[in-house]
Amino acid sequence: MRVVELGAMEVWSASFRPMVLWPDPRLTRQDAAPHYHLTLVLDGRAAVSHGLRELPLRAGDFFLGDCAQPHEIRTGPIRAVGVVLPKALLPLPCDQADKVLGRRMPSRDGVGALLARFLTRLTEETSAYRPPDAQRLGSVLSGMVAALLGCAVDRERALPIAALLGFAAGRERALLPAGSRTALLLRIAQYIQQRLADPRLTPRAIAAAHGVSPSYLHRLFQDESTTVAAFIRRLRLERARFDLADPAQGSTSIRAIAARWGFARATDFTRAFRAAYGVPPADYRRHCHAPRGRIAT
Amino acid sequence: MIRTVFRSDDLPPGERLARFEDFLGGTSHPMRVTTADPARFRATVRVLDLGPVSVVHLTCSPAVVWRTERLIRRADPELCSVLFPHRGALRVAQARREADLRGRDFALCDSSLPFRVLLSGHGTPALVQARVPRALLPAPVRRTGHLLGRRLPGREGLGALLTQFLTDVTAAPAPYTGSDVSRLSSVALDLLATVLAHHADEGAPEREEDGPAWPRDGLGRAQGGPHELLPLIEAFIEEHLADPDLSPATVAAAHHISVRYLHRLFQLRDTTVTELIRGRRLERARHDLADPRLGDLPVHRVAARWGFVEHSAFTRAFRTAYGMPPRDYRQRARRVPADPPGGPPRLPAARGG
Repeated sequence: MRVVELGAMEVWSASFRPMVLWPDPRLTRQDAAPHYHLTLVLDGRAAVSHGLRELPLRAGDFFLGDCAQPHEIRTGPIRAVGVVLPKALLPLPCDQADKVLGRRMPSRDGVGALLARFLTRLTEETSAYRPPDAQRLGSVLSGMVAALLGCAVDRERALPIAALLGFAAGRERALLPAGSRTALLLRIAQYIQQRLADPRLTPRAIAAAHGVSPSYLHRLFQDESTTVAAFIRRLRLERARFDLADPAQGSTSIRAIAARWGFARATDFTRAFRAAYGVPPADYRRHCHAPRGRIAT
Repeated sequence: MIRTVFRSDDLPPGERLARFEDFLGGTSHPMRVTTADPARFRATVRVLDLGPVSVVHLTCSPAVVWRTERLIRRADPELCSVLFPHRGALRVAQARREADLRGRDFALCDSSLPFRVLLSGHGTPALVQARVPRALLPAPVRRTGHLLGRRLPGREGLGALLTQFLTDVTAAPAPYTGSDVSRLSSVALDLLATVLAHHADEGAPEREEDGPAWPRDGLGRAQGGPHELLPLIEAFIEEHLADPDLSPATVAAAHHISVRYLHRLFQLRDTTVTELIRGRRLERARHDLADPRLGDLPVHRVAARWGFVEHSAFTRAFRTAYGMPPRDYRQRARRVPADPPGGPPRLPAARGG
């Protein structure tokens, strides 16, 4: 069994003879920080039992479990990789991850396939990551896990997603009919990305800079099922989240990080961060900065 | 979600190169291309937008793709990018250095400085390039001057996580839905920032006081010394000409050396930092004054564009350097054509191609 520690997260890979696994008792204690475990079966079969219910797992299935809830995984001979991570580090609103608890998620394609390759590669690495790198990798990995869970939630709700928005920088504008709605939207997204740090970046200012009325701007984004403000906020929060986990920026105050990404008031930042990721920024940072980051074999 | 934005196979063979050149020139990141065998040229460009990161997959007959100061002035989205070969080999030249890339080793590239990329190899070489607006990188890694034109390791460790991720997302066919892509929007940028932060941590030149320790590349070989540092500093100056705060003090601070040592370094060039900055700013301003597309921009705005805060200081320096005030120069330039169109790129020529 190999274990790679990425800040407060653990990635493991192992081959087992038939056996029964259950959550680490240290993580099921009531005073322990709540943790999730995400397990991917690479080869072989397993079954998760939770009370009377039993869920079969096959090669290629991801499974999300709550370490605080009693359940066990019985396996045949299998090879698996997994992540154990504090709930506080998962960048999703509070109840989102719970919606896919106890579900299987595929690793055949999409985000699942990317995450599977990423986990495998992480545990195959033979030299240790330096602690600051390990910690930053922790934010990358928690982002990927959140993406997997988020996609599973979306699939259940069949949400129309504003796929276009946020994917604009560097898009080859020449290919789009000049002056078209899409071209304008992309130009605006690019404009926003270059000016995230400016607290005066408001829908009104953006509309003025592009020669459209605020209500037209609003309608443009509405068609992508979001709002200008939500789009800006999401980008700002994503950048602030990375900075909070970055040990090289450990001496920068939360207020300064918030200000750097355009949150003029720290309280607004705290509220928005908590709404998006389920924990206040100070807690998020504290969880990230668990001083670990080595490989134990 | 990955889109094919250019495919030469759809075009008559005789037009392929010209249409590809049009395509490259018309993007928000204009570039030019030359190839040894125009008749058999083929290229396919696919783009995947992952949030603010766009990942470009270019398959192309052996060729040189380059960006000049002229093209940078035409349009510069201020992108930082990572690129590596997917098939064949790449030579990336920027900031007066060259990186030879094979396998998954990668180089960093800055859209605001001229560069050349040579694609070579049997069959049809291919490259992957991930671009992100510099403004979105974490503050400590925004200055990447010392990494440009260097080969960075992408076969193992952090680099491998990045190159594998980018290779995976651009693999065809890509079974991603809009929802997948939207969820991954920050992951690509976080991973890129992680890799840059790794190299920033280990690559920043030591302070002079710490003795002659120079940065090491990914393979642990010592680099640096005056002849390595000077080009970096010159590239840095070139990149920050428009910033009125650019001064010997800020240049020294950005390279973690003392102002005194900076001045000593420039003695090797028989000039001073201040002279270099002033000379390059005047040169840029002179170029803008001759540009008919900027004909409506008042002279004082042209000066401000290149970091001259005081207009009178600009006029004086301009007259000293070019023998006439800027206004006269502009009038004269309107009568005769400026530089010949499509001047040669100013980087050391990449061999081959």
